[in-house]
Amino acid sequence: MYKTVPCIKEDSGSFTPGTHEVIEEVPLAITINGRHALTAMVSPHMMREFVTGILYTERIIHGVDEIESVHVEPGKVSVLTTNPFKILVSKKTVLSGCGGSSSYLDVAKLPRVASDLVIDVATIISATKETLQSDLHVKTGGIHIIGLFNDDGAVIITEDIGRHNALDKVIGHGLMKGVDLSRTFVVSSGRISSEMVRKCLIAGIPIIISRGATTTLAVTTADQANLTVIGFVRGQKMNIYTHPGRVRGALVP
Amino acid sequence: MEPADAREDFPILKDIIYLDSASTSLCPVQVVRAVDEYELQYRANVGRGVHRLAVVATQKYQDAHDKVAGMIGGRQGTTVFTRNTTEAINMVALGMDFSPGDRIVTTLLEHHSNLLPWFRLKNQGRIGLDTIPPEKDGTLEISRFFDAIDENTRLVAVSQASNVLGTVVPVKKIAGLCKKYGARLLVDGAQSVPHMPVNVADIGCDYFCFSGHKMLGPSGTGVLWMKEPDLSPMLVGGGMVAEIKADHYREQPGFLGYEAGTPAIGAGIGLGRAVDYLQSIGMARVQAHENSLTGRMIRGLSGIGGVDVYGPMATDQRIGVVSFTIAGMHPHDVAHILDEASGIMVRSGEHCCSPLMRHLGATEGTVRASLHLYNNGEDVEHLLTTVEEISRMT
Repeated sequence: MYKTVPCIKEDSGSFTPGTHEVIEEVPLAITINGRHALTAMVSPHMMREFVTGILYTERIIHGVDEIESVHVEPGKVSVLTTNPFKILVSKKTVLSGCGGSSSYLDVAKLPRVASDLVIDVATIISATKETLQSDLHVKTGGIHIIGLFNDDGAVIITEDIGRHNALDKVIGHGLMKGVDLSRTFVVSSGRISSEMVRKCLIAGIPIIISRGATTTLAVTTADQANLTVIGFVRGQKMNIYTHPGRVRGALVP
Repeated sequence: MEPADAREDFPILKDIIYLDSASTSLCPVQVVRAVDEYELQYRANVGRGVHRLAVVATQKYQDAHDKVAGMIGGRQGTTVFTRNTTEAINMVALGMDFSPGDRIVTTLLEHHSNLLPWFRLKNQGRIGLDTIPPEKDGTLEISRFFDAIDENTRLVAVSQASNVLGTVVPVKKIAGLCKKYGARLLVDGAQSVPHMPVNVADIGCDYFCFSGHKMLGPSGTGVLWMKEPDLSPMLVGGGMVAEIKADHYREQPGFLGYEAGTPAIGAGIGLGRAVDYLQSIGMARVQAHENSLTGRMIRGLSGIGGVDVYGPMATDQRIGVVSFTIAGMHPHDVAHILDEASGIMVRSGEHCCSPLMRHLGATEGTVRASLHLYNNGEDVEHLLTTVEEISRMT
């Protein structure tokens, strides 16, 4: 997940040669049914989960049973679907930067969340704390973390250079394990973007939580599609931006 | 899926009673469709091209290998597609490096395909050969292996289930003996893999050979599984080479190094589909279903005057391959009448096992009725009724 690379360290005007742990970033070319579909910049682990997640959140597949096989090799993944000549995909590049890629964000075409999941403030705080405990983050300072939780606690917590990638990984994991995503919530180490909202809506995840901020587009999209967005979970505080009914006791009179 | 639900996947069963699956099994429509799909929708060569059809075909062909390996618990080894069991066994015979004094142990229960490769090596003066005869009841006595295997034994080649007597051979015990003396073990699984759960890791063999066409796969398919890819490839040429420099070459890793030339791609993919089909029922269920029919068949045939049944009587020591003779009737005549009178397909003759036939004293061979998951009690009753009628004719 990381490599130690040389660097020159500056401290109070003095320069000394040293090393630092730098998080790995690799291009991953995804081929679907023999055609190059997209290239993503990712942290090279949980490739199968990532590909399952991104194919699902990009709505190229509508369930894991549509995947016939996934071959993972260094730098590339080849996916066969059960109907290999019906799924046609266009090329695009997904960047790992904060903005992520521009998937289509037409709220009218996004599913509304249908879930009566309600969670406690204490659960939000403890899940956020659990998600953010990352040795890798401490070492490299350059990783995003996403946790997927349900009634039993953490389903999976994973890391990636991109929080969108990490979100696809946990969604892929959930799908592969047959987890009922309508009974889960996700916790992100970074900002909640409209792209992350879109992924949650497609996966049917009702709540997204972050210790960081969110964006106007994320909030308006979530508001229209019945997704609960919670930001700035720090200490005992948090901001509930949309659909507070899913947080027990949060309905302000 | 239950075995009873499988019959509609084999349309020919509406017209005939098929009791010759030990020779080759029927092929369900799902397998035929998988082959069709390859031929019509993504036909391309494997491992060579970058266009989308080549990528799809290559991945499906690789997946078929993985499925077959998974079915026999052999994912840790190398699974090579061949034309049939015969080719797989010959690949072992031609791929091993023998030294003076090496001996091979085999048995009289074997199919010609697990005898002739060793006869040839013996005739070439490259090995000595020890052949263990079966007991009167058609079983192999393990003590005879104790006597035959020693430090000079390089290879023991034995089938897991006899194609004539149905005998299931204690290959795991034999594997233990092989280990003790440093001999390698080849198991001919042509008659076992289609009918019972098989796990090569549990057996502890080095080479495992079987046929796809006996396990609902397309004809022209077989498998060589190797614990270690330690055989010299029988064929060299295109597809199996990773690098060529001057007159030297380096073989591809894995199965690719053993599949020179364009393989039977559609058939191989069809074999993968056949594995899916068998696993949708489950091999333990296939075995239980066939065992119950075998018991009925053996009891019924044994009760008919003038009929001799060969091989073990207990169904827990055998598969659904039942050899019998009717006194005063040539086996070919019996088979012919079974077809003419009742539309029942059986095999007759020596079943590629001349040495065994001589050993059994069945000079004209036997009639062999063999089962698969798509047979039912009615098939067996039809056979018994017709055999009874034939026996009254003599």
